[in-house]
Amino acid sequence: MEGSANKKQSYLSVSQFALIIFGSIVGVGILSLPNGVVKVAHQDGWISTLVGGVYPLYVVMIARYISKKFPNDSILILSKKYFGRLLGSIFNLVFATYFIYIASMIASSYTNLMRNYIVGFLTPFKIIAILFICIMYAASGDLKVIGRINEVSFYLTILLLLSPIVALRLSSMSNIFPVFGSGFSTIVKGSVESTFGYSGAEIILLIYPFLKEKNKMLISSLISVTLVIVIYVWSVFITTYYLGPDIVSKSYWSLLLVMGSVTITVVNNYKYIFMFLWSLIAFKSMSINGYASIHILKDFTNKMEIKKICFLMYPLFVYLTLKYGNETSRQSIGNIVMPCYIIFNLLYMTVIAVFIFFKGGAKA
Amino acid sequence: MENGDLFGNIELITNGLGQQGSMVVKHFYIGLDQPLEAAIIYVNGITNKDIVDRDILNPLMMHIQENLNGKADIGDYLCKRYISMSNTLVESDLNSVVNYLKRGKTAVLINGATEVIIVDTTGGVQRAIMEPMNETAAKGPRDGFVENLEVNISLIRRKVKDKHLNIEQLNVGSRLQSDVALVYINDVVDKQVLEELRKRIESVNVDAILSAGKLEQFIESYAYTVFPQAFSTERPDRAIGNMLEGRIIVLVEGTPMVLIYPAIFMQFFQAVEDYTERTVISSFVRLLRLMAAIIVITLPSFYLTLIKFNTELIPIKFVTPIVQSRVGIALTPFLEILAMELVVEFLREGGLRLPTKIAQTLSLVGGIIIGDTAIQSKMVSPTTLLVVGVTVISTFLIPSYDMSLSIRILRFPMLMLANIMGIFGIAIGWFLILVHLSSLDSLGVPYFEFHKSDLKDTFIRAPLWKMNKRPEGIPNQDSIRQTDFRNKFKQKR
Repeated sequence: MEGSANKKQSYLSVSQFALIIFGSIVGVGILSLPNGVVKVAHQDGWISTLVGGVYPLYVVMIARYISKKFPNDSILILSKKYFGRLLGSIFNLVFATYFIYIASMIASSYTNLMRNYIVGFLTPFKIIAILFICIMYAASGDLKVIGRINEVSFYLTILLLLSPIVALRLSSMSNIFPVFGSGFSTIVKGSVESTFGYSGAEIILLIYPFLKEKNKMLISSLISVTLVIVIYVWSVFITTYYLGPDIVSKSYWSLLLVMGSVTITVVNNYKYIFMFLWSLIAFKSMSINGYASIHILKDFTNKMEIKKICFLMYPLFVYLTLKYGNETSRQSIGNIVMPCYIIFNLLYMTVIAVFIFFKGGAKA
Repeated sequence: MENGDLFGNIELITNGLGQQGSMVVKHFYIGLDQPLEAAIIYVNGITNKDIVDRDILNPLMMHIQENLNGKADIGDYLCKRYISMSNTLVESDLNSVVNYLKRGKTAVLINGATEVIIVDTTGGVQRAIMEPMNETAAKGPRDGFVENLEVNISLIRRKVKDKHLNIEQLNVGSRLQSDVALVYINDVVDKQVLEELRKRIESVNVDAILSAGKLEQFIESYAYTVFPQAFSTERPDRAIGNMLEGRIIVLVEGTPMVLIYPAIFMQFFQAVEDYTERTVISSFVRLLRLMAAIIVITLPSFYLTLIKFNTELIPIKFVTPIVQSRVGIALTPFLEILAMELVVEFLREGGLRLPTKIAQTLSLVGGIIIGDTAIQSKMVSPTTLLVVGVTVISTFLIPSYDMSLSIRILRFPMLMLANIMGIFGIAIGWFLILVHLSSLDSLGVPYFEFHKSDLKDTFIRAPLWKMNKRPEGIPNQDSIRQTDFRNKFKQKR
């Protein structure tokens, strides 16, 4: 494992970098994304989703600005540098809890989904306990490992999300008309709602020092975020188009209903195949968030061994995920907690960027 | 040699070789007037005696018509004048002399001279070059590696005329002292990988390695993974093809199997014929193989989840036949599948070492009688047998024997996971496999990683003339393999 052949390997390739960002955002959330957005913005939900894409783009821009000044220091070091050791560490810890929150939220959502449709015979505890063993295994590895899984799962994601294309011929245009009919203010409100779906893009602030070709950072992250936006808009659009704005919010996972439109000979129910394959995508986005939280904690605890952190974090993850409960209570918790985190994240990185702007860059 | 005392030197060499009975010493005289006393030593069985008699003893005993007393550099003189063989050298270090003798060469000692003439008389009986039994190809060369290291190197050397072909000899094993050769193309191979491999082989400290498979395990990084970390082949053309992609061939004396480093996962799904057959055909076959690998891992466990947990997923027309076939079967679906899988493993393991004639009986009893009676006696349902049968056939599609064994093993944990957690277990299993594969490396080279330009030769096999670059997945110094030569004769429209 020594030698510079390996040193070179510890950096992420451009595609791995871009796809980690992609994978971090696109998880289980997309299945229920249309619900919240369409509830607020009705048939114009897809426009709201488009507007909501500003959030990840903003994150990318901030990351770009910071990384230009400090190509080798992640936000953790910078936060300690500008806020002071104590305050910076506390902010980092809050940042870590954000990823813990996201990972457990995805796990909870995934568990509810799976129990609802396929594995009703398993108790939530069993699913969550086993799930997090795997997540910890994946998250305890190298960032490269995460990158490679993302590369594989990306193509799966695209394939799966394009499959409801058949729904196009079964639906009616009246479901999305009139465009802009719900008014400007509702679209903006809806876009705030969709912002929660874009959470996960913050991972870029942690991983940019690992990118091999630093000059391609902006373009690759922009491409991946744009891809996410396109896919989100597509999902919200096809769901609204197929189901109509009134039915969308009736199901927890409205995108899954659209999957019902896909019929394959012999296969009884495409939804199940979709969910089986989607599991891999859910696992991978949990792993990224798990990885992020573990590595922030590693920095926080002064380079404690990753394995020890994993062992300590495992019960916490399982406990948290169990606590969220069923889908309704999980969503209501999410509605309260998520905006706080989004505001925190925005402040956290914006203030650091502002500090860098005023206090000057690389010389410190 | 300390001094020119003939008997003393013979004694030293005898001690160096050990008191083995197979050493042959012949004393004779050379020269006229006052003949010098001389002796030849060789190890019986690994030398070609005809050459010893004809080209060493005959000229030295019969044709020296001069007085050699007091001649300076007598060894060199004899080599140049009388020993009519091309590969001779003069050596004065006792240890090297002993080493040469162990490898089938003959030593000529002369009384009064401190140097020894070493003549290459390597010979003895060995297996002829044959078509490798485990890797056959309809279109392609028929030669395969044998147990002899020199012959194996010559098989490579004969095909590769590049001046940058490097052959590095190492010595492993304190008792067997087997020769190990690293063969690579100096300006293609990645120096760090080479250095790492050399370091690992040199640090092996065991009494014997005996075969390439053992060496592979001594130098690998991950002992408990099921996946092979070195690619082994019996075919020179395959080894050379891999070498040209920047890999290193490791030849071990006494094994007709060479190791190729570094290995990557997708390589194990490539077969020789992929490159000799037409593009479309070999692409199709490659996709079939990948499908087979997925079937082997997933199908039995997927079938189990269908009949145990998610019966609603069974296509409506299959429900009745499946239910009917399961009426009156005592075993649970899991035990039923496991039992059949185990029987198949028994048959495979049993058939592996049987003489061919008995193996026919085994396949008859195992395949036909057991299959039929298992259903008749209501132990398993016909559908289960079908599923297990399809799985077994699929394992034969994986071209590498090592990889097919690895993938075969994986279906058992998958079956357990599916039995406990249904389809969720299968998803977990696949995720773990992917994470595990991604975390492996072979000599620091990522085991499971996709590069955009390598996709030409991963899931499909693009036209050969399109693969202008060496694979990116294997580190190399010279990435250009060929130019767009087809532009010269392709007609523009």
